[in-house]
Amino acid sequence: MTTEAIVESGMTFGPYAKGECFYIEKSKSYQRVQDGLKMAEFLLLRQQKDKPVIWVIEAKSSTPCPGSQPRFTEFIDEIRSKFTHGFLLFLAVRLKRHQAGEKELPDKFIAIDLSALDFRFVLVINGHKKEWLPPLNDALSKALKPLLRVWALSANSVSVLNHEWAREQGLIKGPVHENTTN
Amino acid sequence: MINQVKLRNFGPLRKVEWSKLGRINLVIGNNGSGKTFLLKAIYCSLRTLEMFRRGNEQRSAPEILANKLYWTFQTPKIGDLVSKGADEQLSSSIHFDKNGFNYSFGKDTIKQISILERDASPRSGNSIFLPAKEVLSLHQVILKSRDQDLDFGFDDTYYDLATALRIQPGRGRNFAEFAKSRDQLREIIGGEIKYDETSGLWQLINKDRQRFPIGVTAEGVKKIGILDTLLGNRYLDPSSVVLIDEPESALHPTAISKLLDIVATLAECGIQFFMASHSYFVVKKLFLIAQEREWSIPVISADDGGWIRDDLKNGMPDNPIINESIRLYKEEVELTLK
Repeated sequence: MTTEAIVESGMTFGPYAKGECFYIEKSKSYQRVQDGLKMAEFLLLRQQKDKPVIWVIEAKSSTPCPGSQPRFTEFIDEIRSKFTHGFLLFLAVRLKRHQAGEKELPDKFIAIDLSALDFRFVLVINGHKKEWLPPLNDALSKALKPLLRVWALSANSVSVLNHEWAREQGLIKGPVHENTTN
Repeated sequence: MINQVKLRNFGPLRKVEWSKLGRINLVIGNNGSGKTFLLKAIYCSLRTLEMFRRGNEQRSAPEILANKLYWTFQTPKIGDLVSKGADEQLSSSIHFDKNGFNYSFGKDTIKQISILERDASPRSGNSIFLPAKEVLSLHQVILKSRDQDLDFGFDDTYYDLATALRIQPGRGRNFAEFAKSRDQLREIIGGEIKYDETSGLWQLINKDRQRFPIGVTAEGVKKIGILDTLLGNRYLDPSSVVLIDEPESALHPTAISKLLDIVATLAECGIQFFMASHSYFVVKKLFLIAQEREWSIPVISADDGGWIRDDLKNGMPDNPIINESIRLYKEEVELTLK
């Protein structure tokens, strides 16, 4: 769908190889059903241990913003909803549940065998302290545990990264602007 | 390998049923929840099977067991181990594959265990219990208090360990499968510990062959050194069961991770591990080992008097250790971002 870089929460993701990124938040499939849904930013198709894996990416800024910062429980619930809805919408599109939806899905996403496909849910937080990441990872893993169990996904499918670790993982390739609200 | 443990009315353990056990098994819970008690209960059955019919041992299995329970839990009579207020007897059932070792007795039992069923064969290997506190500094004190004075104080987990450590390395070669683990253990502590017959004291010998009295070495060094010694003197073999109470005590988180990597390597060689912990790092590291190796690592968590079973292969367990870590994080975030 896109080979252009995606700028979210002050971070520049990609650009990624052609056909390996699906900008689901801007997709027509999502536009048609978005009322009441919360959506992850984009899906990235990667190879891990010679197996296709789809990374569901959500980007946030942790910049303090007095009065508007969501409380922790609501924050976790919001991210859980975004990941869950992004994951389910991809499967719905892939299974042709949405009219013409599959047309906007890159060919590589259509070609993969769903039964062998693995998923990762990756939250990238701009400027987040690295010592804050492990408990947040635990909290999000706990919130997503039912989804992982139902879909037989590996228990370590959830990763919370800050912008530095996201760059190490090759997610962020362009500039990062801190002090940006999302 | 132990694959099932069932306990009823065993001290603080009203009812524990833990099956499908793995190479590594974890017990977690708050202080006073009975974690150590659970490990000691397993240890008593194991050691009974290991002492029974060994060499010229003449005692019956119930006699060995009663003695083991008495010196491990150190109650005036073993009937005192029955849960307070329980109407039924204490019972213990441990299964090795399909063969069981079961016994029960009531609160009036002094030292005669009348009901004991055994399908399980006597065990040729040795199992060991590694207490939370190290024993090297008090080695002679422990042996004297038990061998000469026959006093309560140091229970059988300490005494057995102190005795096992005195075994001199034989002339035979070490188990090849332990070589890598022993190298890694020595790497962590920067040397090895050795018993000095002349002074009757343990010493740390570093890589430059400098000797240090054990009293001035760190607690964690002693702890790792103990495991290395038991692997080196062939007390442990691939059929052993190692029960570790609070592997995290006296160890830096980095050393905890390294120790648990070694535990995983030893588990791969055949040793079965049971650990009791309330450390976030221990739970997290074992979770990662379960994921990396695709192993089942059964975990049992104390929860309001009951026990919840889970498996680290399926994710981090929902328990107070993890919840407290998340709660502290919430507290910090809200403090910082308000």
